[in-house]
Order: sequence, then structure tokens, then C-alpha cells
Amino acid sequence: MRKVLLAMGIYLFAYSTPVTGDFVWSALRPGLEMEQGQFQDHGKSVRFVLLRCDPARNVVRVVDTFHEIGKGNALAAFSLREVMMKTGSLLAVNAGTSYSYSLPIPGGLLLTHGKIITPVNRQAHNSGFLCVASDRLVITDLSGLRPENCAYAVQKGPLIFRETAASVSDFNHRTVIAVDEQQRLLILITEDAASLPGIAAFLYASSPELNVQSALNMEGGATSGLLIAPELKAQPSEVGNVDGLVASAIAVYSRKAQ
Amino acid sequence: MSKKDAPTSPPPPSRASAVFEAIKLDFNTIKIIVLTAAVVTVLIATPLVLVLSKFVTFDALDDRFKVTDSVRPKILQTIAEGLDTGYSKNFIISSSSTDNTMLFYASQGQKVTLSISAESIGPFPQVSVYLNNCPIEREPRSERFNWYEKDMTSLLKSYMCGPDEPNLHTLRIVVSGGVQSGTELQMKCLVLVYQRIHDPPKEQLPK
Repeated sequence: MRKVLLAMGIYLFAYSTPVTGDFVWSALRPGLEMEQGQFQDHGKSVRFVLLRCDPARNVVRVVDTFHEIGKGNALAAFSLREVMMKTGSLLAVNAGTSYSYSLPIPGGLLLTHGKIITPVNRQAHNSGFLCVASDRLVITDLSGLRPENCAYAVQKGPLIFRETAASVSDFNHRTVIAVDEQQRLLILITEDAASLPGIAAFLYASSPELNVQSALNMEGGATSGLLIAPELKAQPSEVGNVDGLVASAIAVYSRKAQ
Repeated sequence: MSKKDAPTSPPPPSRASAVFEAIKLDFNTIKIIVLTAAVVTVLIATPLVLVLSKFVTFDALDDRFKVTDSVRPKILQTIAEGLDTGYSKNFIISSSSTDNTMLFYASQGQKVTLSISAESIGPFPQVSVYLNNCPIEREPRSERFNWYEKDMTSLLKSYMCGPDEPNLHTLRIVVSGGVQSGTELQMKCLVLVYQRIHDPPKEQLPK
């Protein structure tokens, strides 16, 4: 049994170790940086885009696409492109699950402007929450959630821990958010299919300079997408599916615009 | 003792009745054996059938014994060779709460085509047609248009455009800016799914 566990450990260490060197962040605007690179995930090379946002210098919030984009129009696309177009965000990334491709029906907690849009889904296994409070960002499990303290919150999962690197999961296009030691928001989006253990190894073990404190897997696959406003002149400015329907999005705004 | 007073003894059994008695005895034995065997079989088979019915499907048995291998192509395919499946809906959109979706079934790899005829009374709104979670065209249409058997097969193979539920696809009409008052948009849509029988969906085991 010990030999099997040792062999599994060696295998995971050998094949999940990212090959990235030091990060070279490019500043898109004050408090918003971007990094592109690739890491190794079980022998596969995974390209990624990583954004780091300082909430002290930018506004981070969760957008309820149905009420904020639709505004009475159930025929809207409810996509990240519409989130950016209609709310004037600097960037938009997909957040929680939608139960349908016809209407943005949130799966789990969605809280915007201090108001609960949909309640917590307590049946969801190992789910986590991003809570945007007035002074800080929190990624937590259900036991640590205090909705009354959140201005915005969204539920998804699973939570990604350091130990997730030794688990098993399927490969998919991923959107992952994390909070670092300095309370900055990290947004990781993969351009190739990746596993959660591979991402955990990249975030925690192979990139200690990121100082990740907690991480949460957001909706992946066909919904995973990131859109950056053209004025920030980011390359690439679109990753994944930015036209698909999303129930909720995480958007970043300049403090002036808000 | 006279001959007359001699006691009478039963006549010895005839050969025929002896054979009959033997058969009667054997028949009873056989009857008991058969009945016992039947009861034992029923007792064993009932739980076995109940358990196996959860795991053994017709497809699984057929995969092993190849019973329908020679029959299925000859009969089923002959019956169904002309039966491609079609799904149609005439969307009449005059308000922002009109039903704008149509579901259709297509298994992986099947050829799917879409035909649309779009017209409007009043100004034509900006319209996009979505298949699952993907717009079919990058730019929305802003005037009347017609598509005739536009091939969707490769689009459906993309990871972004897969269905919400396995094999159950959603066609959605998106009007981002809404519909102006007095405008009536008509979208006649026809989805054709070809050759379903060449790739029959696998039988699902009960959950």
C-alpha cells in the first residue's frame, strides 16, 4: 500500500509540475496586471492567461446577467460580451453555473448589491463562495460564508486546496479565481483543457511567488471565457467562449466609472 | 375338511395389474421429482432474475450473442433508411418575453443542418442564432435572411458548442437589443438530423 501511494506521489509530482519560470507581469492599468504562459499538467502543456487585480485600485463585482443585462429582455444573449458592452467593465470572466442554455438560471448562491438573487445550494458537494465585501475578497466554504457581510457573492466549486494536487479529475477548459496574500484577485483561465490537480500544483506548489491563499474553480468547459476591454490593449483580449450564455460574471471596473 | 370348507385366498395379481401398479409408483416418484425441481428452480430463479434485470440489458446480451447483428441492418435499416429526423418551429417574436428556443435531439457525430427564413414587419432587429452556447455567425444579422441546409455538424463538434444535456441541443434566437414596439419578427426554422439509425444511441442502464 505504501509503495502504491509513493508511486502515485512520484507520478503526480513528475507530471504536474509546471515549467513556468518567474512571472513577468504586464500592467494593463494601475492595479491590473496580466501574465501569459504555460504549465505542465500530467505531461500535457497547458497555455493560460493569468490576471491579477488589486481591489483597492479597481472595483470588483459579480454581475447578475439576467437582471443587469436582460433588463426585461429575455431574448438577450447574456454573454460576457454583453456584460462588457452594457455595464462598461474593463474585463469580464464567467462565474457561476447556469442551469439552462436558454435563460441564465443561476445554480447556487448569487448575491448582488447586497441582495440575494438565488439562495445557497446546500446539496452541492465541496462548493465554495467568492464573497466581495467592501474592504476585502474572501473565498470560503459554506461554514465560513457570511452573506450579510458580502456586497456580492457567487457559489461554485470545488474549492482548490494545496492537497487537490494529489487528487484525480478530468480535463476541461478551466476558469479559476484565487486570492493572494495581499488580498488581490487572481483570475486564471486556461486555453487548453486542464485538470484541477494540475492547476492546484501550478497555483500552490510551482508558483510560490503568487502567494495564493485560497482558490475556487468556476464554471468551466463551454462556458469558460475571459474578455478584456479593447482600451487596455491586452493580447489576447478574448480567451475561451465570450459569446456563450453565463448566469453570472465577475467584472472589474475602474473606480472612476463606478 | 371337505373341499367345500377350504378357506378362499385372493387370486394372484394378474401381470397387467402388476405393471400398472409399478407405473403408478414410478409416476408418483416422477411427479414428486418434477414438482420439487420446479419449486427449487422458481425459488432460485426469482431473486436471480430480479438481480440480473438491474444489470443485464438487451444490448449487453446482444453484444455477447450477436443475435441481431445480421438482422438489424437488414430489417431496421431498410425500414428507417428514409427516416431522417426533422424539427421545426415558426418563431413569431413581438415582445421580449416570447419563447425563443427550440430543442432537438442529435447524437454525437450525426450530420445536422439548419434552414432559416427570417422576415419582419417593421424594422429588422439585430438577430443572432445560437446553437447551444455558440452564435452560429460572429456578427448579428440586421436584415432579412435565408439559410438553406446550413451544415452545423462541425460547429457541434467544438467543445464550446456541445449540448447542455447529452444529445439534447438548444437552438436559440437572440435579439440583444430587444424588439421595438410594432415590430414583428418571424423566423421559420428547420433542423434536419440525418441517418439516426446508423448510429443508434446506446441503451442506458437503469440508475
